Amino acid sequence: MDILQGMLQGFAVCLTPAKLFACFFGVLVGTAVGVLPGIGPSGGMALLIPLTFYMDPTSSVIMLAGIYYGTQYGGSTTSILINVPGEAASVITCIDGHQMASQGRAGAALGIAAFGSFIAGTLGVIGLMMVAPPLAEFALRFGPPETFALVLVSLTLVGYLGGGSMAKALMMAVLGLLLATVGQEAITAIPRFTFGSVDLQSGIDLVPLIMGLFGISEVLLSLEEIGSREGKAEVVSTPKFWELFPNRQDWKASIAPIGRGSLIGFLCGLLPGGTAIIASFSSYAVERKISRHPEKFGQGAIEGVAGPEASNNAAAQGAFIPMLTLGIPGNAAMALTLGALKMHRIIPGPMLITEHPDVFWGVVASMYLGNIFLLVLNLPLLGMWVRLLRVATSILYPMIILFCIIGAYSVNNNLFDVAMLFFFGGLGYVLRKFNFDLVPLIMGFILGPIIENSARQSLIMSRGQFGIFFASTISAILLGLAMVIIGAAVYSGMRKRKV
Amino acid sequence: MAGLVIVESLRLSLDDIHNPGPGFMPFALGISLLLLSFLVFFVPGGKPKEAGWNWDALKRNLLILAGLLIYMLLFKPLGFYLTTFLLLVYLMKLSGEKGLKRSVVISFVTVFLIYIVFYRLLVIPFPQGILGI
Repeated sequence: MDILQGMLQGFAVCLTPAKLFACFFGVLVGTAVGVLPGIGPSGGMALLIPLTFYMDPTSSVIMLAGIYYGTQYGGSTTSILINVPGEAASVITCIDGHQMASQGRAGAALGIAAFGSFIAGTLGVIGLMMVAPPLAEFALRFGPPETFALVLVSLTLVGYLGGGSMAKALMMAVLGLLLATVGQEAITAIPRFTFGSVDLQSGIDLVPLIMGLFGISEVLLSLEEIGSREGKAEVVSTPKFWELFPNRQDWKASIAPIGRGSLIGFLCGLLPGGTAIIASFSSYAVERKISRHPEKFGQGAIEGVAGPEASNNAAAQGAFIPMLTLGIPGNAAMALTLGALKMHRIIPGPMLITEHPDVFWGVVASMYLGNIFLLVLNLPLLGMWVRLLRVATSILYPMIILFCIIGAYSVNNNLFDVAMLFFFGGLGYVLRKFNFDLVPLIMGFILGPIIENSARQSLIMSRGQFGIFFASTISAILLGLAMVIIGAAVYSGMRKRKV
Repeated sequence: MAGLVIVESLRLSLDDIHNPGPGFMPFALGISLLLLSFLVFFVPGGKPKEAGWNWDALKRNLLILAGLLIYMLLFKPLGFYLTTFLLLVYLMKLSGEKGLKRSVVISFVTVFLIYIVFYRLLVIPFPQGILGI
């Protein structure tokens, strides 16, 4: 199927009331999640995963995708107006965005953030449309050794790009892989690590794990900031609707950063571990480096808003490519989306475009519409989002915990899942207090069955010879890349210790 | 933990390398975890630094976790709606809500809305407990 035919099918799928509603609801929730500090896109998606049980697979992914790229839009609102990032990728927008707001230019900052996000998001979707089908075709050549190598390099790359200690990141990935082994083993049905529990025979459910790690632990961490943030956050006066449109000079200064940010973001999104945060920081660094007036950065340079906001949106679109075409989630949000698809018995990967073209092209087409919805939601409805910021955290956080409880219980109507929710909530909180990144853990959990099956199949095929992993060019290159990444991490760790 | 995993994996049987058994993957992961733990906890500079402990906040979070545990224990005996109402009031107080009346009203309204949406509209049953609510 060629791209044009695919897109036409996609629009035919998503221009139905149910899909349009799923898209609109997703971007609405995403914007709210982005606006509200304390809950990131992963937490927001985790809260709504149980809702996907009542939806078809395409609507589920459309909604979850909408939440993910919607948070990138919403996060800029709080960054600019109150100098608090609504979500992590909008941290960099605080620097120049809030300065612009303090100078009475909040409207221009918000406007260029929204329009820049729209342009980058649209370019990102075009990139997704062009890159995904040929990549999926290439991935059809992957056998068990190549799949094993790909998952391994993804886990090491996530650990490397996440920042912090590689050893800690790999430890989390191994923990995730171990958690994935709990339950009945796929081939022999022998129970592993169930310790006699009937509830654990079917393994640890994804929903309580994710909601605990990203929902409950996020709330516990955010509650630690009570008293330090409340009462101190002052909202710079909300601009009027007509003030939100950038003038000609703003556009002239911003269009090139938006273009560059889109490219940087898209490429970052393609990499496992290449998050929107990395994209926005990279874009800011590039803009400051090449600017004729770098001294203006930090003082309200519009380029410092346009570039990063464009790049974090483009990264959000680009991140779907490895997840949809290879079945490899590059970050927590993609891991959640992949988990949701698996719950609907759809396995993302090279066969997705051929076996479920309605899902793939429907999601891609919905992103065009989602970006339009977001432009409408973020500009005219700005006042509503500002009012949302005033909801007391003493009400918001208990409600989030309640949603998590309902979500976990509704999976199997089993109190055991609620117990798992609380357990992983506590575990996630402790791990984050000790600066362990949870993204490798969730990736390990989701990719665990894939890596185990591919390793076992490879060893069966080769009659126990490990050389099979280096026999094909693709797997040899991927494993070589994994070794280079580990080597680079070891080297930089040794250099830091010498300093 | 790594030790526990390795012992349990050996019990599950590794079989042989031509046809790995159910214990193969956990065994490999257990060994990896042991090595990584050594690197993280015993190599100089590798020990994870805590993010900074605010003891008041920690106490509050421990109280929240304790509350969640009690909630779980009372879930079936008292039923979902009553325990959830009590939990919400408790969590709001711990989250900084000053007035008890406001917490009670908001909790009641929330639980009522959940009853309407989940039980009446979506027909999702929650345990009703000994009080029948």
